[in-house]
Amino acid sequence: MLNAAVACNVLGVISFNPNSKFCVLINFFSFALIAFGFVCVGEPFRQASWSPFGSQSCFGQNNSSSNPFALKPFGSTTPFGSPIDFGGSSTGVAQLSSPFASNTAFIPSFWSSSTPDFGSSSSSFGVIEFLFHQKKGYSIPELNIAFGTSSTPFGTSSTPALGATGTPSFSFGSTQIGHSSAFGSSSPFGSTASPLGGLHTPSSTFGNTDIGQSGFGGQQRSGSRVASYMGTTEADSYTSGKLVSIFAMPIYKDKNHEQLRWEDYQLGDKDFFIYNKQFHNFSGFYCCIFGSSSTSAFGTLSTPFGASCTPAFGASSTPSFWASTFGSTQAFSAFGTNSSSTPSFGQSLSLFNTAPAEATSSPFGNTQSSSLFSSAAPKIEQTGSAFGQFTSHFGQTTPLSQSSLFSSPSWLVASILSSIAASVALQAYLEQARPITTKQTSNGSNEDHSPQKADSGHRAGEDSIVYEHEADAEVLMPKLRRSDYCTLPRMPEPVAKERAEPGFCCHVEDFMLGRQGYGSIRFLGETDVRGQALESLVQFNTRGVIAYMDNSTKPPVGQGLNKLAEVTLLNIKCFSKRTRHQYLEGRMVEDQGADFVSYDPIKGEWKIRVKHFSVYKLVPGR
Amino acid sequence: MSNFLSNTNPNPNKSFEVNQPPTDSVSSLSFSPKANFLVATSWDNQVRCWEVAQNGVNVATVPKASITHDHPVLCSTWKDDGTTVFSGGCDKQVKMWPLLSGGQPMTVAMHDAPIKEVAWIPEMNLLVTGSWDKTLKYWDTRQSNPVHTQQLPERCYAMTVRHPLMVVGTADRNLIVYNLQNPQVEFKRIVSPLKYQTRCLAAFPDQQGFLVGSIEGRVGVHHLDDSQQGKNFTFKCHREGNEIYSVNSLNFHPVHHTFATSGSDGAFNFWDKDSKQRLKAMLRCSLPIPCSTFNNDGSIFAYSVCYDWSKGAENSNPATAKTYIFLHLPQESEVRGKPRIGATGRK
Repeated sequence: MLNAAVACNVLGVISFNPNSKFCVLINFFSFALIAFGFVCVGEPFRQASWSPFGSQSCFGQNNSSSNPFALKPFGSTTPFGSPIDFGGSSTGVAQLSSPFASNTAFIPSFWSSSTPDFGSSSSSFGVIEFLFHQKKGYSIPELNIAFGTSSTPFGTSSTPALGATGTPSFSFGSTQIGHSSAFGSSSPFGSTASPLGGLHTPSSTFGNTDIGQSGFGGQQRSGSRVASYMGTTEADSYTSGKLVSIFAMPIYKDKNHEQLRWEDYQLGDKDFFIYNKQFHNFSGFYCCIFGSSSTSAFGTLSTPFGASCTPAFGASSTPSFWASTFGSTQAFSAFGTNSSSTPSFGQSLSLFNTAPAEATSSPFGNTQSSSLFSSAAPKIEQTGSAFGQFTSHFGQTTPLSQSSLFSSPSWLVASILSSIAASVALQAYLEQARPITTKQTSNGSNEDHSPQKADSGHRAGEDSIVYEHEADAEVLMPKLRRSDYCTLPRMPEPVAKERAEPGFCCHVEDFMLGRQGYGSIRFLGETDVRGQALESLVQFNTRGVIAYMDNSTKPPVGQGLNKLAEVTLLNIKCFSKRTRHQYLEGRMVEDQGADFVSYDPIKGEWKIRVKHFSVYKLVPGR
Repeated sequence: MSNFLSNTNPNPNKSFEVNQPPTDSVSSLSFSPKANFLVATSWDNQVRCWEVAQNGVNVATVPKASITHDHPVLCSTWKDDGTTVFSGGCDKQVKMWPLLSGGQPMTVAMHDAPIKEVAWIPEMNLLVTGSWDKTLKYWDTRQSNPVHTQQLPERCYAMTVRHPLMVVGTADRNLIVYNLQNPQVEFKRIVSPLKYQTRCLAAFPDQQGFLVGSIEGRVGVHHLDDSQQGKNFTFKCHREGNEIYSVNSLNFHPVHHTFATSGSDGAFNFWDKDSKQRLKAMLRCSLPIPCSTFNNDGSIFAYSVCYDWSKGAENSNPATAKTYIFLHLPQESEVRGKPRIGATGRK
């Protein structure tokens, strides 16, 4: 029993049982399924704070030692916490961050914070945790011993969840995996960013890049931001003329002025002009975070970069950000000593400062920036030879950054995590740390990443505003905006059927909702899909699915999507903590309230059946 | 957009500005056939009416009334007695507005998709509507169902009616000609002589042919009679250097039967198709001209100056967008045809 390698950490109320070896967090507000690759045990929480990784903490300086969140996260991961500061400055999420800065005990503060946002951060554990494990397993094998856990690489492609119905496959192509195995984690990053991109740009653009598949045939892009205006050369002109009309472009030639404007009108493109400005700030924000973290990881800060980055932030958010950065620098002072002996890396450091600054001023999809990043990768690759331990890592970066700009941020993420891994290895070596100590480190990493998911939750809230804007148009129709999500019956078929036979959307038989490469849910029996903003209610993330994050919108059991369903998750593989071998047979999870259906280790497909989306917790099995 | 930015004057021709213009772009302009009442439909969901008082060389515009649709309005037309306005748009319905009697607007037509064109045919006492649902429908305003539905090959992009001639331009660059004495049968179906998307149409006052304008800065002059094919031609317009702008609107002068073109370059010009000459080139405004129209006796030419989405949403800045409606009093020399004088004339 103690050898079980699978544990579940569902964030919610802390339920600490002294007689139990496990710390289980129950989420009363939403259903979240997340499988982690490590064991969460209670004893390490009694240890003193682990100061070598930074003097600052996301949760305040004076938390009591009995508070499981008293652990200080990796110093260099603090920048990931910055989104909470930025969000607090402009979007009213300050409520989430301020309680943790006080001296009060954690548990009372928790109830005064924004619970849905915090609860929605459960899945971010899976997202970032997976990234971390991926890096350990790939670049520094000895870290497996230090942490007592194995990495969880992607396997081969899975059987399509909806293959029997003729729907396109949702699994990753094996070629795709082979080329970017170290960066399979780019999908989790993409899923984190999608709520932003989905509002500003049709997500099919990023979805195609990220997953490597074309969008669904039935899904059609709309609005005039699918592609920027460019003059079209008139072919039959003696002197080459340029058509100053967006409708001369092939991508728009089947639309006219009024039709395209009506599409933009429906997308709220005009009404959210102010929001679009904020989006650009977010773009700069992400680039700034990664760029700065990469810089500080090697012991130096670059003033010119900071200067170029400042305009992207409001005045109120800059001080918090730089305070975090300095914390990061302090955490890596020991490593900084080594960087002084490698001038070649210093050269590439300036390149780091230049590229993110360029990206800061460009929205996603700017091809100019993309080519700039492509040129950056070979440079890093050359420098990598000076750091033997990074050579293969950087070599893997090159193909990905050449494919598209959107992959570049994940490359930066990989670079950051690689630095974290290197630092951990150094620290472990210097201090002869015991395995029990490294477990604390893993857990701290989880805690530190939760604020980032809160931001995603907020973006999902923004999504609902857009839908409300056009609620009077077709209020009864289910809505599906992101092209990587799909349904059976496929959109817009329910709309057409509702018109043909009113009431169809009240009783759709065996309604299915899924996301490419992540999983699907089949709602058994008849489902009422009227007015459902589907991808706002149900979110698929790596190794987890969340439904009805906002408790206030959850209907009673049996209504809406809160009903009997079969959940299928893809790319799930479990490993034994003791033997480090993958489980190939037998059941390894026992779900209270959910019926285990099947697990195919070869395909990584995991199925459970749930009666409704409500309180669940997963406990390790035999 | 750089050319627009270098030209910041929205009214270089010193036309008269209409008071209290719409808050968003104008989609159509139409004058009453009986008096100088001007109606404008707008992307701010409003239909507005002004009375235009002409006093010598001065023009005054007095706002009279307005109604609201649920979504942007795309088209408008007057009834022949000048008492009623029909307007249609993205809410997929046409409202009949008894303007002079002060009654409430009433829905008289419905489609499955936004309605792009509407026209009143007094000889048939019917309203005809063209929509993006690829249909034409004829309506008796006293009945709730259309008296006839005509299927189109593609979405309706442009339409023009001069009884018994009606021409409909569709998204696939087809131009379908109907003889309204037999409206259920296509009189003729023509592929546009222009290589790019059809933007606007105008039937000849003598019903012998029509004009077609495209997004490629070109206008085609087409005669229906096969024996007149030799008189068909196309000409280029609304170009600046090597930049080619859309032709957004075509309007015939009611008396002289010359015509005006308005384009995305912000200019409007007057032409004589019979002598194949440009009569007058007006100065370019700083913004595109999406629509224009003459009044019933041709003494006033109304045009709107605002963004027409010709470069998409990212070139639109709602914070600084401005919408104007201007009234131009054309000189006799600008709109009267100039017949060529035999062989001695310039070519």
